[in-house]
Amino acid sequence: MSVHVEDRPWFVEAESVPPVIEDEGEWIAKARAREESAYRWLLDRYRERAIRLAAHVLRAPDEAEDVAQEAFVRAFRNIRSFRGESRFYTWIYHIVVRICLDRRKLARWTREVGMASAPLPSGEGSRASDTRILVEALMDRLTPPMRAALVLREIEGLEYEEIALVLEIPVGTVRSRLNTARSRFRDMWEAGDQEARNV
Amino acid sequence: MYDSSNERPEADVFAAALAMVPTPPASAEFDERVLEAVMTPDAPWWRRFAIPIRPALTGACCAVPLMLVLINWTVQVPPTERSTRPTPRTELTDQVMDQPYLTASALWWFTMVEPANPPGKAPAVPRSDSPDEQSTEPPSDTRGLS
Repeated sequence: MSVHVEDRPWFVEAESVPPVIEDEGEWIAKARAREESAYRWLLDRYRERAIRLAAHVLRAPDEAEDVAQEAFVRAFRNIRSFRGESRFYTWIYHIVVRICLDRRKLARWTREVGMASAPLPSGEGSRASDTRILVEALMDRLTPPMRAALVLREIEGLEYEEIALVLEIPVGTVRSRLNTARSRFRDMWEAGDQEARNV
Repeated sequence: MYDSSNERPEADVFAAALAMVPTPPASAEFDERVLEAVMTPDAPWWRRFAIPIRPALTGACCAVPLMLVLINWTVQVPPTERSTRPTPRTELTDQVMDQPYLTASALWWFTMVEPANPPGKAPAVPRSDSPDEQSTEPPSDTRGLS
């Protein structure tokens, strides 16, 4: 099945990785000195991204803000341990993902089991909303680590090496996870198309 | 090797669809909550230890006064008559144990004593002033008595 982005009027360019800001290092240095303005600057810059990542990984929007808040508190309290060898966003993403995975472990993955049987969209209707539901159904079927890799790549626009750094896994594992997720998406997409034709 | 060029058409649709999945906006007080948590000074080191052992400390605080009350009460209560007056069994045991020549046959008597003898039904213990006689014959042997 060939899919062309141009055919989709609902196409929205996924946000790319945060642009490099030269003075971010200075703000981080100020944050190390416990300056409130630096905390506000970092919050303003990464707040939405952290919440979005948590929402996608957890698939629980009501928990996402709590996770992001906890991640920022941890990051700011331990900012002296951030040595600046990587970008700040990889560090905050790493903390967000770890908190999400810890919460999922605590919940014994009950939500994953419950949502794995989400129905696939079928029939005619708004193509955009169908695709969105399809993607949501796919996300429900993926494991949180796989979702994390997917969101970091497709929404946050991180490089494979950065995703590997965030998830603490080899780059090859990142690639295989993304391939698995995409092939599942393709299968579901084709299954949805087939059902739509049969109706 | 992995060829990223093959993934693009699907990835684009995928990314676009992912971007359409709604995510919750941050609440207005998000920053304030984070800053309040960060600016609040850390708890002192001893509090980290105090929290896990709080149940034990609470138990100890309740147990010590209770124990002092009990000790005080037991000291003040006069000894009962029963506790001061020896039972016949105790008397017999004392007599056997107080003999100047404690022999195996005297100790053997303890095996014959019932665990809970009612008062007045204590087994008859052969008593003799002669230590030699005790040492040669078991106390329950009635041959000498007949």
